[in-house]
Amino acid sequence: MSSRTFDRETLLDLIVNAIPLAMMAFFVGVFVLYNPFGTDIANQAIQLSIVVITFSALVLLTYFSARAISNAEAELKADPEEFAEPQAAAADPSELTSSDESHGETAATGRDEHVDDESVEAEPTDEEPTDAE
Amino acid sequence: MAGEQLALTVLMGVFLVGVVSLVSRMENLRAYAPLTSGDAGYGDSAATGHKPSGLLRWLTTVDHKDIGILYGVYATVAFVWGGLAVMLMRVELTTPALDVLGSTGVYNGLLTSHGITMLFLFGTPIIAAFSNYFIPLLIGADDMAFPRINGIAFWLLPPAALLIWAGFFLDPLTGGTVEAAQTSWVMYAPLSAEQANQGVDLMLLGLHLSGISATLGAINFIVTIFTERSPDVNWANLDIFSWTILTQSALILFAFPLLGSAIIMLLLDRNFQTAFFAVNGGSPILWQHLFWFFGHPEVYILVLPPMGLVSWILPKFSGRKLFGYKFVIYSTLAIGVLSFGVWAHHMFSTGIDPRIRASFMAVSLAIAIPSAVKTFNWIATMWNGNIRLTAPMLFCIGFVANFVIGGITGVFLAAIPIDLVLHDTYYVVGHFHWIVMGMIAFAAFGAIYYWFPIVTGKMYQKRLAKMHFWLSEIGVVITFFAMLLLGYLGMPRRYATYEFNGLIAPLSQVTTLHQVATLGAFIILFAQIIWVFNLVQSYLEGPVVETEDPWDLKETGQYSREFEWFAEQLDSTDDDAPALAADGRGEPSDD
Ligand code: HEM
Ligand SMILES: [Cu+2]
Repeated sequence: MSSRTFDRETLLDLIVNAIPLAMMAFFVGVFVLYNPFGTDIANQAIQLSIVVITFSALVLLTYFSARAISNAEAELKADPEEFAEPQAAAADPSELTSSDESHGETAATGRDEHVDDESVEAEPTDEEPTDAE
Repeated sequence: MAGEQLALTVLMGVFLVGVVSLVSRMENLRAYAPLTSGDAGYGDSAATGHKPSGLLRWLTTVDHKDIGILYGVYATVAFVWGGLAVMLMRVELTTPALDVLGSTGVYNGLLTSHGITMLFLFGTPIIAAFSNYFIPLLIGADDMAFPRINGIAFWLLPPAALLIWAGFFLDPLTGGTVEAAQTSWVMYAPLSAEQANQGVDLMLLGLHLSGISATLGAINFIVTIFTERSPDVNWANLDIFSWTILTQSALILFAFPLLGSAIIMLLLDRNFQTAFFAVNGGSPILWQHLFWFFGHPEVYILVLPPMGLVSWILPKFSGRKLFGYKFVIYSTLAIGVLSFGVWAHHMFSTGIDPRIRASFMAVSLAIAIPSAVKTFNWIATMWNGNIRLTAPMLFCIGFVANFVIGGITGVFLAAIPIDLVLHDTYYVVGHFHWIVMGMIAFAAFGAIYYWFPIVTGKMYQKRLAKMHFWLSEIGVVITFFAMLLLGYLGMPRRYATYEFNGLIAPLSQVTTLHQVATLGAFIILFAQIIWVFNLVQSYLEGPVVETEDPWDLKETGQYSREFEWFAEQLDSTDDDAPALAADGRGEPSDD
């Protein structure tokens, strides 16, 4: 793996979880700054902890799953012959990693340019952006 | 008061975390997995090699494929029971007065049975049918990690159903002393604690059994997916259905034991004079917290695997790979976590603290994002694809369409001011039926058609399957739109009659909409009759599938592991082709 924990592609994939995280962070801010319901330490503690605990749990799970997945991708990339076809679409058929010739040649249909778009977030670990975009 | 409770809760939490870390330090859990690496090679394993024939085979099987079929048959039986119950209710609702069922008690009993049956005895088992049969095939494992526990998990379910339905059977036998439970599926205290009827106790015990079954199954899937994968499958190419089952299993592991404990507390309240949920000295709201802490994750337990099925099948008929495979994974995981932080959105109108209510609204709005992301992924997958409208694909597309309405109505309900108006109206009923019928059942139908050739070796009747889809979709739209409108008009849910005055709701419109909903329900019923007929007829007499690629997946490079396995079965039974029955293996004849 690179010296940084996650490469650009992985970070891009993680946007999907960053949005709910941002929403929850926003609400924590709102609840701290704006409280029309009066002071009540216990209930406010519960109020904040519901969002904060959920937030932290999501951060942790996202971190560990992203690490597991990007390590697995590195493995895939290092030793393509050993592994079944990746689920993520590959842009370039030559990059297909298939243990079985019965599927393979055309994993990405190459039907249209959308396939290339996809590769940006779906391609097994590549440090340097490949093509398109 | 609240402060002390909070302190106690935190202490308890710290204690539990301590216990978990201690246990995990002392025990090497991995050592418990019987086989540490999976490998292809079906049929070699001792557990599945020799099966007795006939009924004995089905009673003693530990083969994941047989158990999958058992789950499927079981779920179908439950679906029929729950479906007939709701048809009786829908007929009753065509008029405002109580004209058909004779007593409101009967209606309440049917309502309770319908809800519990559909969620616990149809929903969870139908998902288990697919996961049992196909997860080992998809990840290249010999079988489940614990085949016998797998068998036990299934065989806990028939007694669970008997207990849950017991009130109906015992009513005539005991002259009405034991009746069907009338608690509704949420079993709110104090009603559920104070109903003397022993049918409620039996139902609670049955629910408890079904929870144990689900938990055993979940543990089995987690261990299987972690330890039994074939060496060429890792986290980066694990199929999407396995990902959703993994997440679902984790949710089950955290949610169902809690339901079990809450049920025990309720049983104690009912039979041993404890006062956990009593109005004086206890807290009925405590029940709601416990129930919904389980109940909201439960709805995602039911919907995540169907989302996985659609993510798996829809690309096959779009001629393209799933758009954003990793988006779908991360959003699945995010839903899994977030679903534990939203439970009190079912309790907005109970008078809980407004600060706490606001928090649950915040997290409920956040969970809408990962749900919506998936919708865009599915649409993007189909975009410019080479779409083939086979029956499985039709059900997948219907699934996406229904999710748009079911999901968005959910987001509205998550906003406190809207919920205070719509809570406990038919709007809520409409919301979740778009999801449970429009998605969960649809994904199940789609997957059944998609894998029908593998499981039975036969092909279904395509015209009938398409009729099944179109009638189901039309029925769903008619029925559940009517329900959303009924909700807007203020029709409260869970009533057998609606002879109210015009101040509550305009009676004539409400009556018409109820009749429309009943009409839609009959259309759905008719569609399901076609479905069952098609499956039985095709299983018995359908054309034998001779090709290893009945869906032409090779053309688009989407031929996948379960069909590779199917091809092996075809090869090995070449000389006696028709022997490919039931589980796809040549075996001692049992018919
Ligand atoms: C987009 C995400 C969703 C949100 C924000 C959401 C929100 C809500 C809210 C706020 C309620 C409570 C309404 C009330 O009683 O006043 C509710 C009820 C319900 N939802 Fe959802 N929902 C979502 C998705 C789902 C899904 C995926 C399922 C099922 C798989 C589901 C099943 C249910 C059920 C069964 C109820 C009714 C429970 C009952 O009172 O009996 N919802 N939903
Ligand atoms: Cu909920």
